[in-house]
Amino acid sequence: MAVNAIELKNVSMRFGKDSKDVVKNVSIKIPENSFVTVLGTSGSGKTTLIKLINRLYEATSGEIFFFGKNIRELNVENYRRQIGYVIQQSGLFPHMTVEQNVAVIPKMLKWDEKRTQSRVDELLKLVRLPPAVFKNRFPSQLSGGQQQRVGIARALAANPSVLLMDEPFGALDAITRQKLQAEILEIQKRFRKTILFVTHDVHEAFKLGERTVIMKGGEIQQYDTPYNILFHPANEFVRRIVSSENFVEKLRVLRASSIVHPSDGIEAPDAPSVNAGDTLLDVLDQFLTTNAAAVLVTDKQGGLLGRITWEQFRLIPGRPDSEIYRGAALRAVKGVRQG
Amino acid sequence: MIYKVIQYISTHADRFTDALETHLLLSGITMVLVILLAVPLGILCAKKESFEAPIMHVVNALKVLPVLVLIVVMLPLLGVGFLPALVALLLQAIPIIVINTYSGFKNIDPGVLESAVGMGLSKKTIFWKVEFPLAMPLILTGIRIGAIDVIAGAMLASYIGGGGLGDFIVNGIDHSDHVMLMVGSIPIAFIAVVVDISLALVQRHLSRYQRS
Repeated sequence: MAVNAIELKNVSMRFGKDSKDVVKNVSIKIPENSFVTVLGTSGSGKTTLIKLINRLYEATSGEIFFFGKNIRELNVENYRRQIGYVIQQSGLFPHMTVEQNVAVIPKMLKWDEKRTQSRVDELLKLVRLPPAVFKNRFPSQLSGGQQQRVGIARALAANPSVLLMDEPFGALDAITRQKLQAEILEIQKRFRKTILFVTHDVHEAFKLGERTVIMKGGEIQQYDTPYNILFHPANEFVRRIVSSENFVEKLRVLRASSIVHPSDGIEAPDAPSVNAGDTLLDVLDQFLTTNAAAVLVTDKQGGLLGRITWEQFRLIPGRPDSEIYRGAALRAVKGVRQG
Repeated sequence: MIYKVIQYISTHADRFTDALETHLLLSGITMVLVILLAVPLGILCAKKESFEAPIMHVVNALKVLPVLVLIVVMLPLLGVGFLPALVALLLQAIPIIVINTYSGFKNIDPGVLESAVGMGLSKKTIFWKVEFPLAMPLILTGIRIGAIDVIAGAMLASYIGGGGLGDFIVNGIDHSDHVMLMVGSIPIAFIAVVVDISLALVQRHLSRYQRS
């Protein structure tokens, strides 16, 4: 059985005595090493949910567990140091250099100078900020994207198992955001972190999350894979929140890994393949341009993860299955590629 | 004129150094006390809501009283001499430093504090390593303005027998003696400028992170 990094049991929270619940009876399990996104409009309680987990807010009722331990029974500061926390405004200490910012927690844990130094260098390289160039800069001398990179490095400093990220890329331009999204995905996989990531961007939620929590009015509307949320929305609200995405858009945000099926071991030698992180649009692209019966899905090292057959696209409801459709889809794909 | 001023100072060296010493002592002690008093008061205002309104009201009321009034009010209360002058100057400089300390703490980006708490820093660490350094540039501005006010205001101590360089100025006014006036006022202006520049340099160093 998978270990739950975080588990909420019937958690509610309200600010004043007479006000209504900001988070309402939420129960949820976040398995270890998973990437879960929380999607909702402003006022949906998604940020409150995250702050309940690192105890910036205390739940009015219910219990929260961190690797099976009730967080109320843990020393709050020690507990928080096991969780990396990244927020939208970066929250970097403006009077400290990049190096000092990243070294805050190691210093507090009384690491020796050498260990702290090498950790800072290692982390700055990880977030693609050459230490020699950036170490001695102040946050005001960095771009928004660079500040967020330092924020991520700082959050990773003491090697926490869990990262809480509250709209970390919300204030960045589209190109920087995409780069950072790719990098955080990679970091999550490489270091096997559990990440809970709040966003109001549907695309971002589905691109990053293996599973997504949809919130409204403090309540969870659906907690499922992006695939199921897009194609089997649990209620009208979820349908509305994802309806802005047309079919091609939906394929564009879903990763190949979301519908990959085990291979039966008899794949055609010339079968096209895609990477697990590629989108279903890439898969469709392969189908439309090669006429193959199945597209293979491989991991980063080229190992076979499984395959997606053309038949599986028929599982997607509402898709007309005909040659006419195939032609229309091809034009749409080309349009998207060119646009 | 300048020649006459120098000549006066060199012929009355004892009197001049005495006055200078008193003036520096009066301003110096005032500043040390005012910092010890006003900075904690400002922090208290910023941290504890129940203290905010009462302290700020008193401080704002104090701010509108001219130092001459404060000095004269000290007469019936504390008599003449060094002490009443010191108390008057203290009251004069408190408001600006309390207000600036308060704003220094209140103006810290809430996102910075949120992530400090969220990453597991203790209250003590946050206060000394985050809040205090970030409030420092504004606190120093308060101290700078306060120091100039005190150095200039200390001249008025002479009216209640507090001594200092003001003695020359008061004397000069009484006798329409311009040389005497200058003997008092030039050193006061000089000290004020030197103190201001030195504090500005410290401030510049402490807020270097704000320049990109």
